[in-house]
Amino acid sequence: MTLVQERPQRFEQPERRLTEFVPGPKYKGLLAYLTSTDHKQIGMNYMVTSFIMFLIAGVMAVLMRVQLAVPNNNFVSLDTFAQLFTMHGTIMLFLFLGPFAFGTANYLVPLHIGAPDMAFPRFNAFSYWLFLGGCIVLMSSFLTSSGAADWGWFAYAPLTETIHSPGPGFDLWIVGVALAAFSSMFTGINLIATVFCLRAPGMTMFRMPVFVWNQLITAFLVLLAFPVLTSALVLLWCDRHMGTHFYDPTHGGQPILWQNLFWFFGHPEVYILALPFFGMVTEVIAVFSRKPVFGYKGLVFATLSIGALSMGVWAHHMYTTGAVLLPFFAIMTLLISVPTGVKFFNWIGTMFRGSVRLETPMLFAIGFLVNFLVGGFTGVMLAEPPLDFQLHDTYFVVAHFHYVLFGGSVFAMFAGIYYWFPKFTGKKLDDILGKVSFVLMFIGFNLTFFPQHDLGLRGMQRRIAVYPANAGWSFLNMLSSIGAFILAFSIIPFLINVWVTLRNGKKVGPNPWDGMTLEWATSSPPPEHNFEFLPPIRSERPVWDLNHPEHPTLPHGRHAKELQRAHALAGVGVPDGFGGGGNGFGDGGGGNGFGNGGASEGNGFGDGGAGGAGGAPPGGSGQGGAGRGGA
Amino acid sequence: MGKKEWHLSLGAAAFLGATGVVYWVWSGEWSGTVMLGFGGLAYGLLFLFIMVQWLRRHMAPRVEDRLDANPEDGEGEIGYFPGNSIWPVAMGVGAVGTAVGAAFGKWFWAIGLILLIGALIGFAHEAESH
Amino acid sequence: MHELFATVIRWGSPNGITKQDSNVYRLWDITYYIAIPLGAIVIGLIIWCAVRYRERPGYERIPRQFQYHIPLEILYTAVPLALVIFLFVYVYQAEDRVDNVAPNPALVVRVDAFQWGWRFTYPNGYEVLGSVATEPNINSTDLPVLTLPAGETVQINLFSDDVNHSFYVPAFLFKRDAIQGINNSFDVNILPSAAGRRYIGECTQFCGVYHPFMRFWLQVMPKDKFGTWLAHHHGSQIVTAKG
Repeated sequence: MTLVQERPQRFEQPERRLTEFVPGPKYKGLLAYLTSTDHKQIGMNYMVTSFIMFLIAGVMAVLMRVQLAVPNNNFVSLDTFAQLFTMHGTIMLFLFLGPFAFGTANYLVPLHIGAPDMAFPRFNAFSYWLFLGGCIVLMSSFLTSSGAADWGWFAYAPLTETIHSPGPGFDLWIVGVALAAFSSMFTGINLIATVFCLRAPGMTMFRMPVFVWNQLITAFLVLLAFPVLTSALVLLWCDRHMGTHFYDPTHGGQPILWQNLFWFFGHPEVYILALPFFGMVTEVIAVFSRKPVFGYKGLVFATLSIGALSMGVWAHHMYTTGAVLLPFFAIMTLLISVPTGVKFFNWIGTMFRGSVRLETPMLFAIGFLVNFLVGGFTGVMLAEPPLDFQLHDTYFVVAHFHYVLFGGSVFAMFAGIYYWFPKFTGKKLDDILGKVSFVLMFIGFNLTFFPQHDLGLRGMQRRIAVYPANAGWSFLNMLSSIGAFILAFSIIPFLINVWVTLRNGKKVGPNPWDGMTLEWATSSPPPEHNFEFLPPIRSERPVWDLNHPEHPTLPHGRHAKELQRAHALAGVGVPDGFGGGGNGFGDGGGGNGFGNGGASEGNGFGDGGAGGAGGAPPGGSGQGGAGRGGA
Repeated sequence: MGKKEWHLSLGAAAFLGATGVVYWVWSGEWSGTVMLGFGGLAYGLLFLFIMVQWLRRHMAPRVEDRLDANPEDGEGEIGYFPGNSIWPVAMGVGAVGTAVGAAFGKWFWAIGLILLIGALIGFAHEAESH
Repeated sequence: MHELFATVIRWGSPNGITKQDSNVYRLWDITYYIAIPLGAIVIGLIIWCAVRYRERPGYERIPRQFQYHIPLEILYTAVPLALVIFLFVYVYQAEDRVDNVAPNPALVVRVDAFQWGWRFTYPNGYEVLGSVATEPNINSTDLPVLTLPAGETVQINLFSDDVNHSFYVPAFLFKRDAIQGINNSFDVNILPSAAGRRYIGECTQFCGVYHPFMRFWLQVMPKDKFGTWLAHHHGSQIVTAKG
């Protein structure tokens, strides 16, 4: 394994890009934290805050599973149970998964594209404070006289009207969610601006890591989804306080309007919570297979089509209302499974014939693949209206979305945490503890949620605090509760791991995993404004190209043919695209390729890839200059 | 901004617009049509903005759009990156106070709004004075 | 244990009692016939790749850096697309039949859902009203009874008095929401073999704290007995679950 620093600097170190950094006042301690506009600090704030929210909502989930472990249980009251599942859902969706993804976006997107910071650093800080405010407001609703909101995380009207749900706790829910929504929108704007305007020279759109693409598409979805949610919340607030009747059927309002508005937000939201994590998994799989992402462009287009299609599927949450156009939403939803399937084959293709390092991040990524596949298939079932009529609002749905959001996104999140922890802190999490955590989590997760499919088929409806003893649900519920305890316990090795590593961990240098993307070209953690130097960017994995000049991505298709022709003319060893012999490509002229030996005008590493074509006529080396896509 | 960027926003606008039309013709339902239509318009706006930027540069690619650009080609000012600033957190407190006013009434509202507007002025002034 | 065993057949679904159920079962079959081989292939590939190509510590190697294989990519896009379109054809058919509302039903029953209980109204004005007691017991069997004939098309009109509810009989493999402002109707045609039996029904849309207690019985009656049964019932019967 090669680290960036250890390599002799065979390329000329380019001058640092002149940027206008305004130092501002220097604060210390708490004030430094409060006033920071550094994207890494803000990203870390997001991640830590949302992880704490994850733990809080996880405790709520355990309380619910205790209540449901045996029939007719009295562990918590009916109303407390309703508050628990409402706040569990609200926190997990609005205050944990989304913000955690934004935290990684904040921290990593500028690093991935070679930018010094996010496009609007102060705006970025502002959105974090809004998010934190949302967390505090939502949690404080437990302290009000009415308790927290107990109307379910999607808050169906008219249960949300004042006559059904009076009290300030409910208003705090509206306010808290709206704050989190504004925070998301601002982050979305910031992300799009960053990706569109702050990429490093040579970092074209189709050289961005898949992670950045996924974050960009997520940001596009955020900008479509969250404004609808905030408008819907404003209307709801007006209904409760201004005497309007948007959702109040007793005065001619339409409860179904809330459902349309909410799910128009809610379905893209599901992809907002999933796509960034797909991106993380893609990076992890590529690095831990020591191979480029298989079918990179196909993967990007698949993600784009998932994003596009996800805007047209909102009413598949409303099949049973009898007020939506079933075939339209059924076909749109079923179509989403096509690009999702493509992603699966891309991930498998990346592992195929790779050198798969089964370290903790990769284990979590494989766990993600397996769990998410189950969630995907149950998703197809729920997308079919006749089956949804049977399954809607039963535990089958609960199992489905936990397979997608926990088995999928949370497993991917842990893959990402273990993978990027060395970048965030300079220290590597312990592998053994990580594997223990993974095994416990995988078993606990499947034990918790797999039985819930069957519970749903047996007719157990969701959001019930008690169930009768003779319904035939007792055994499976007990199984699920045991699983929930294992699942909760699996977090403990992780927390110990973080604690021990932060205290006693050894520094592992800037690139401990043999990473491929730009964040591994800078120190760990990165300095202020990120990069002392940037390697030349000739593909979507510049650091790999820098560290392994003799193993560039193999050319393919048209490029491969042109290159072959050029090589044949020059009488050099022929690299044949897909069919092997790739090493000859770099070996032929590796020595003279570096240090401006090549025929094209680029400097440094740009020609490293063209080393093999060093002796070729200019026409040929132009093609080879960037390995793939150099022309 | 470059060619790929406007392709992307135009694609989003076109997809949302086309889906909106299909949805409207097929279902005749209004709320979804309006949301899809406005989504299309929003990305149409983004497309126009990027297109204008692109045409203003006479369609020349920026360094980040060029396949052969090297790091040193990007020399020069790339943006305004302010350092530590107290205004974002002040604005955040103001905004949260204002928002809580929506639940608890006018006192929160008054204090929050004053803080929010004050911080906003400070925020803008900071950039201006720079 | 017999609980678990019963779920293996019919992909875990309950034993349906209406004519419409065959459509649902066929859709389950088709979905699983596609999903099981596809899932097996994908999971198999994942595990095989992870095991076959795992890197032993100390034996680090750099594999061949291939990235694209266009024919393969087209194949794994086209095959799922074809499967989805094939599936959609069946979905469309099944949905048409499940949702079909006959113009001349033999019986029309009005079902009103409210916080928290049900009101079943028959054409002759007879109504059954059941609501949740103040201190409800989930094991209580004092639930309102919806009596329906077997072997005829029954149309159910669903209404809500207040918040959203959902009418769900697991043995129907079907549910429909009761939402103010939307008049929902659906047909059931209960198989004669179910006559004389009782099935549980429940509300599946969260409707407030007593949501779990909003249950009812579905009593299926043979067609010939139903007419006389209905003729002998008038006015309203109120059921309140005892604590």
